[in-house]
Amino acid sequence: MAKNADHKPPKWADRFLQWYCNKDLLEQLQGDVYELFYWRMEEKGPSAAKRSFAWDVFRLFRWSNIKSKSRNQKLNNMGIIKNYLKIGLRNLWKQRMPSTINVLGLSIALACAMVSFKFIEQSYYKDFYHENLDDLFLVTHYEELESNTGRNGLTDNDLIDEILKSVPGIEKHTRYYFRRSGTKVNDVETSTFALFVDENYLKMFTFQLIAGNMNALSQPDQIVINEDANERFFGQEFGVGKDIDLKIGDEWKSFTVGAILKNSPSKGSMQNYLLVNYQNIDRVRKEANEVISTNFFIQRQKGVSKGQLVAGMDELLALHNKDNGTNPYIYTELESLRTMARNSYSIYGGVGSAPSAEGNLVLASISIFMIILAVFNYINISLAMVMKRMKEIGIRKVIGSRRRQLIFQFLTENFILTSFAMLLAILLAGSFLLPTFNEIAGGDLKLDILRHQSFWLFLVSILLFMTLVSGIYPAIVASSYKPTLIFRRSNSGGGNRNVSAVFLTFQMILATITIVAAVMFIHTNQVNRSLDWGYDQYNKLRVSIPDSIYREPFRESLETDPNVVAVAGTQALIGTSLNGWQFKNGDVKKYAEFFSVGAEYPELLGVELVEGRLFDPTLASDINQTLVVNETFMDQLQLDFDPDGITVLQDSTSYTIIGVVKDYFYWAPDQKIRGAAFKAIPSSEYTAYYFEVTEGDIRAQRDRILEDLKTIAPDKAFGIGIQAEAFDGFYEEMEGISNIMVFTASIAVFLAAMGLYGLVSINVSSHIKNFGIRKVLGANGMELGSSILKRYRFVFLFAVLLGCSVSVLLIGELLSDIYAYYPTIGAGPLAISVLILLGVSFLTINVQIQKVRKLNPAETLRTE
Amino acid sequence: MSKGNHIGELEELILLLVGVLRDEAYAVGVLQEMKTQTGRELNISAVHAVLNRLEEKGLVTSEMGGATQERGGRRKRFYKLSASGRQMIDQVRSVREKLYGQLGSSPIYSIA
Repeated sequence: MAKNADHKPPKWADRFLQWYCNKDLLEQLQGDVYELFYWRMEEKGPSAAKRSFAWDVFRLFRWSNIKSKSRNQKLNNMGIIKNYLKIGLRNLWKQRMPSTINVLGLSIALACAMVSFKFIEQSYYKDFYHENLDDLFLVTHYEELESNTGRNGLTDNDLIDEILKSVPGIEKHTRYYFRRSGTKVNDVETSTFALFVDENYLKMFTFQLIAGNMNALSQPDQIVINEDANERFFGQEFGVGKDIDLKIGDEWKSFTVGAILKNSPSKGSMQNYLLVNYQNIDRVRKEANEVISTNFFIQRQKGVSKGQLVAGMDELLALHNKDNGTNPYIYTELESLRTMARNSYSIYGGVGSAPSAEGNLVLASISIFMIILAVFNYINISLAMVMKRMKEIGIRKVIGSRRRQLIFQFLTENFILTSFAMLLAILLAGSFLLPTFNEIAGGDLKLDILRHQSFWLFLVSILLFMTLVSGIYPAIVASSYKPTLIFRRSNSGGGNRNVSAVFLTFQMILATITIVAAVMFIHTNQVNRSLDWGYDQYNKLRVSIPDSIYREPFRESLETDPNVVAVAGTQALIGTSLNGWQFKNGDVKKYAEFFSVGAEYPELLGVELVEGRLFDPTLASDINQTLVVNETFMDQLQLDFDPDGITVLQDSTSYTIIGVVKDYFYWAPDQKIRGAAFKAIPSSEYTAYYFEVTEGDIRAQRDRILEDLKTIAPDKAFGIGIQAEAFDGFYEEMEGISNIMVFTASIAVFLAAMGLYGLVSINVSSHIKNFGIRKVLGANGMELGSSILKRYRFVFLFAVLLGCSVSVLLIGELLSDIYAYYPTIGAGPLAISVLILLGVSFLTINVQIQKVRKLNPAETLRTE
Repeated sequence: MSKGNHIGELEELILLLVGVLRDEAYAVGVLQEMKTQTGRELNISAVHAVLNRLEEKGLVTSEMGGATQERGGRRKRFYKLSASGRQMIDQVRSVREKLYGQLGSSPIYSIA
């Protein structure tokens, strides 16, 4: 039997039996399975015996053997849990400082997680509010593009007619087509993007009506506008029943506002501003014999499968392709509204925009960073806190508490703490973080906890997750101590120092990374702001000519203005729009920006000439035949400048390059500069003026000139742009990102500092006698301080080294994703980051050092 | 107690074994004896279930025994044949024998 004593039945099976078995039956049943186990071991060997043991335990798991919970037992359990809660609250109160640090840290991390969850969720589910979500599809098709097969979200209108005639199973449909149209309200003329849709549009998609009639679109002479448009055209009062004139094609037509819609969610794909019945554009199209392709949505009849619809449409393609030679349709595919926005990047002419994967990634990693930081913080501090309760644990164990019960108790306490943190986090997120975030990211996120099921689930699951993740390790460590050791060792402070050091190091590494990120983003913004635009952007204004009849009056007015130094007519305005076209040099084909400008424009802009010449306004031969290109253009098309002129093709038109200028920023620096070419156009095609004014307050100049021009064209809406502010939108956005980074870094440093503070203070207080004795023996403040600091030197060394190298890799990647022009991470920013971290850490530790320095040894040595 | 008048085949066997084993009739004992005497390998859970059922029917009685070394000091539950249990065995046997007697000396098999 002796050799058999080495083998024991599998522990887990035995525990399982103990767990489920009725107390009254446990002894005999357990005895039986044990006896069988030893018997089988003699007969069949240990592993077979173990298998059979487990099998027996499972077989015994039947109703008659399972413990029936008596009422008493339940009450008893409740009582214990109640006691745990009470003890938990007392303990939290007793150790207020570390508890507060824990709650604060966790709540900040949780609040960050909530905000990112809301943001990420809405970016993926932005169109899910439509009631007919599952039956709505965008009709797309595949066609042969230049190099590969591509997906197109626009469908030819003739094909749409055919589909509606012969494909069964379509309940409702609408075309969806934006076109810029002139508008006239109370004789004020402006222009806007009108959305042309079929009459069922409002019935297929779900939008909220504020005023008017949901069926308005079935009347071809009624239009529907949203709140924003209503405010723009009619101010505060509702415009239902009022008239808006629209210029569709070449004619003006009068419409009546039939309904006003609530603004759709800001990130939704379907954006309504001004809706017009599609018949209006269809008529124009048919008259002009124009072929147009539009987005085409269908709502299927209940029970019709996607396959049936696609098959029906594919049948029509052969006939359609025969009539239309170019770009034959290969096959059709239906894109569900559910996935439409997500897939829009792969659909040419798709609707909606894909969620920004990078933005989501950055947000998610920030919150995961925060949570890791807070959890480590928590683990570290609660480990130290638990060490102060060793005697309690020892006594509980001696009395007969099982390890499981102790773990459960600690987890309960942890749950209380995490719940507090959660409440605080909700307050924090709702009152501060989310509004701030909305401001930065321009969203309309709200915390609507009760009505929002997935958010609720998220909260509950993260609460449980945090409770477990942060609590399980301290609980296991605390409950693993043997009572004999606890009582024999008089001073049990400190705990597992290595583990604490590892956690602290990790926290410091994360903090380093976030600081480096913040410093680098600020630095990169500075670099971007100080970039040379490649031309003189100061004291320059630009104005669009609202109608060709004002071309001459505007020029006269500007030229006679004493403060205007020079005026150049143009069509394209650098910094406001892009215009990519393909250029060819032999076999080399490249896309480049193509700007039609007045002959004087490049010179007034102030681009720097490298070779050749700019346009000569006196030479008629320059007009429409010559190009002034930038250096990148020459590189991309593999051209060498020749003063006699070199020729490139754009479509089938050939142009002569007469000059090369230095690269200039025709667009904000979020894109790398690519090839760009100026083409000179005759003055009869000018649609805008670019002009230089005398030095002075540029805004005041602008306002004054605008007023003058308004007297010339009182009915028109137009504005004057300041060239130096052309990229302000980009800069502001970047400012927003770096603000988020600074915010993240502050919180990370704050958390790390709190963790450090908690750890040091617990460390100090557990060695308080030590310090007392050393003071009595004559140690001065410096010596005491350095003994505390020494403990952490390796932590810092390690954190700084690792943190810096990780951030060089990580942040470099992030920067290259977001910026086109960014500096490399040099020693300077790293040194600044390390200094910030060490400074904050030193200040934190110093608080404790001061405490030790001021401590009266008599006090500490006397007590107990 | 309508069920009390009939017992199944396994119940009968185990009832017999409880009688045969006398003072050593507990679940594992029955299981091992079953294996040696009939070659039938039972599951401990099944043995428990049958013993419980027999006790419910009043055919056996049980009480906890003393502690033993072999099972970590855990006590066994010993079963004893009750008077009605003994009666049941006799009754089953007489029914069998009566029926067996009617078979006659020359057995009639179906050869096909």
